[in-house]
Amino acid sequence: MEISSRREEDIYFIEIDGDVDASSAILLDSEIESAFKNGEKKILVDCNRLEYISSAGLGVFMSYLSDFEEKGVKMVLFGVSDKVLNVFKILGLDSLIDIAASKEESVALCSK
Amino acid sequence: MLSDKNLLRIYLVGSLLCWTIYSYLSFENSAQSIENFHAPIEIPYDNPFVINIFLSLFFLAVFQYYKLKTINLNRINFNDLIWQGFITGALMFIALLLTRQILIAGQEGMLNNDARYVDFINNVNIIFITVFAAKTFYVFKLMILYQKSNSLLTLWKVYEFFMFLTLLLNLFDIRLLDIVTLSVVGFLSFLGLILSLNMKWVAYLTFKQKWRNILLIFLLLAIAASFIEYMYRESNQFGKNSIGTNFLVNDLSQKAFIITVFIFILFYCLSSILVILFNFPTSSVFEQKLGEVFNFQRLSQSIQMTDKEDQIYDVLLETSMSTVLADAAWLEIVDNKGNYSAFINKGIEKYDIFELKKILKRNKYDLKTKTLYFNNIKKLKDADTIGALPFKSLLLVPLFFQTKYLGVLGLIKNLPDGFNKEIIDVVNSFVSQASVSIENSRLMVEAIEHERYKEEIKIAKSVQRSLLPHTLEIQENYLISGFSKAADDVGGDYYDTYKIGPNKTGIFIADVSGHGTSAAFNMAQLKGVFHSLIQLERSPDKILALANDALSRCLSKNTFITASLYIIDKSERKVSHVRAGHCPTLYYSAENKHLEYHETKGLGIGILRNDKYIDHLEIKEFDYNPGDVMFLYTDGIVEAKDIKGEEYGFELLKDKVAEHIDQDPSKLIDVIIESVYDFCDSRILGDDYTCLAIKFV
Repeated sequence: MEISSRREEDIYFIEIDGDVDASSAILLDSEIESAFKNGEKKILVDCNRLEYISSAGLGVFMSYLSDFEEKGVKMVLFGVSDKVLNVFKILGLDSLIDIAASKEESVALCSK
Repeated sequence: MLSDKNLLRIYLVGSLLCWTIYSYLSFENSAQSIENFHAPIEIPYDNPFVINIFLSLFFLAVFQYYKLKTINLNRINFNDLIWQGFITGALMFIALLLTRQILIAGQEGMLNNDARYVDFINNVNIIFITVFAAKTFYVFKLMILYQKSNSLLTLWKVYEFFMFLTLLLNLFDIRLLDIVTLSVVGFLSFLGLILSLNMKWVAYLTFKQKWRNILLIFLLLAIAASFIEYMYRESNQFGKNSIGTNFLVNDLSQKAFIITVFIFILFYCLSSILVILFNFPTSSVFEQKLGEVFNFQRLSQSIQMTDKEDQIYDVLLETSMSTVLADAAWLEIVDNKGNYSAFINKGIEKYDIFELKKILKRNKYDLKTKTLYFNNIKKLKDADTIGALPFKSLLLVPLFFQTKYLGVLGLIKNLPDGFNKEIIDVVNSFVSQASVSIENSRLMVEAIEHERYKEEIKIAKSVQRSLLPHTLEIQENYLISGFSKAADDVGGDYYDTYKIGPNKTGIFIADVSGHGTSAAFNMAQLKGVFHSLIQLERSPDKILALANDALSRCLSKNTFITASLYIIDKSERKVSHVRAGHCPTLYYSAENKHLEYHETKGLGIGILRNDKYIDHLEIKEFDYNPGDVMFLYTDGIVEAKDIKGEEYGFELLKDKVAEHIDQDPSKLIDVIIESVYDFCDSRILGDDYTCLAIKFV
């Protein structure tokens, strides 16, 4: 799995390419952690090339929920495949994490 | 066979007896020269043959006595041996001087020139000379045969045999210079000379011991010389007196046996002295080599006894330093990750070491590849920073285990060209030995850790297995069957049934995120929580909300649990269900002949750790009918992958369950599991997988 990140104005983009399994979940975790520690308020996760997410990966996303709420950070996932979206839905995470259909939508969502 | 002690006694008594008889006969013989003397006994005392027999027997007895006595001394070291020989020699010499004084005193008195008196004294001296000769002879024998070979032993035995054969010559009245005697003596002396060239024991002496032994042997030589001088003086005396040929019996100088022994003694003393002298320059090298061997042995032993790496380092540094006589040394060791795990230095400060390494680096030397040797480090470029230090020669030996770099040993001497090839070889062998030991002790530590870990896994596995139900709650209104298999030794899937009051049964399936020991421990906590809460007879959403509360306190930040709970009321034929983020249950309605997923809204446990959790849980309440089937499972089933990486999926599961919906729960489960194995083309799946099937009757 590869992770890349960049800033566009005030939005921090994280791009995931590949599978997030038990070992690569650590990379995702440190990426989000550094963004959070740097005080980013708008984090957009590009999941277009995210093929599979394990419970470890889900755990990473879920672990930041309370921190983000506390610090007023907005995280939106976009470009999520049907398969991955289904995983979020079964778990119920879709009601806690914003998932948008497209990049534009997610930008709009986090600017609210 | 007689014991040695008894034999010795026999020889002692025998020799005294022989001497007494000999002495008496000799006395009578000399007495004959004095006129008007009448022998009390009729003895053929004028026959030197008889007298000689007893003299020869005396020699034989004394020599055999000392031969037997010194055999037992084989185990004493030769320093003590030489000392013993010297003491005997000195005592005999003093005894000889004493008798000489007595002789002189007597001669000044009445016994003036009494031939009998002189004769008697001479015979007493014969004892002393013989004892000295015998003792020294056998002491030298042991020294020659120190580190013997078969050929040397044979040579000695031949020599000894012919020696004793010369006793026969004693019996005949022949002069030494006769051709037969001379050739025999010559032959034996030649053999003796060859034997005396065996000086292996000299190499083992320390410097001090060499000086001591030279002195003792020199004194022995002097004593032997003085005995020889005495024998010749007496012989000349006899010549001068020439009272008669009878007196030749006392003339030891004519006895081939005694003369040969003395020639041997002289040869051996001389060659020992010369050999010791010539060995002085090389003795320090030999001692050093011995020292190296002992140090190496010490290193091996102490390394084998410890498994602590630190002790190996200390021994390596100490041993290397003392062996090469280094003025300063240091040892650096790195661990498996390349960080310093040890740094010991002696005779040089740490910052000087770093300075030295910097200089080497500047001169483009790499310490980590091979042994480096510098005649004079001060001659290196940019070496002014260490100019003030006295160090000149430097030997750097890296420690390797196969290709893995373990560290480096540095040895420094204050003189240039301080290390020769032999020393470098010795250090290299110390270092390889130590490297092997260091690696071994690390492997040992790892192996122990691994064993411990395996033990813990074993325990966790048996604990986890015991947490799954042995029997499922069976009621008359349904049939039930379950199956669970963990991916690693320990898994995170859980299912259970529980009787609640007279009418209700709780059916529960759950999946802790992750697997391994931590998942299993969370599962154990889940079981405890579930069992306590289910008794409270609350609605399923309340139960799960309370479970969420309890577990949120102990689950780690990234961990959540998915669960599905059904409470079946047999009296009302009702089911109440909540899905906490778990895979949706497949429900078959016999009435409609319809199979569908129970996709209620839900949220996994531990995701929202506050009182808002319950708001995310939707309760589904419905009636059940006979023939209805529920199929519960965990994501290990639907996420099982085939060779292409395709997942089994919800669609396929639904189809398969539909296909075999008429089967009893256990058969249904078997079929589904087999179809998963089929799909994956393997009986080993990457995740824990569990299924639970209930058929209402």
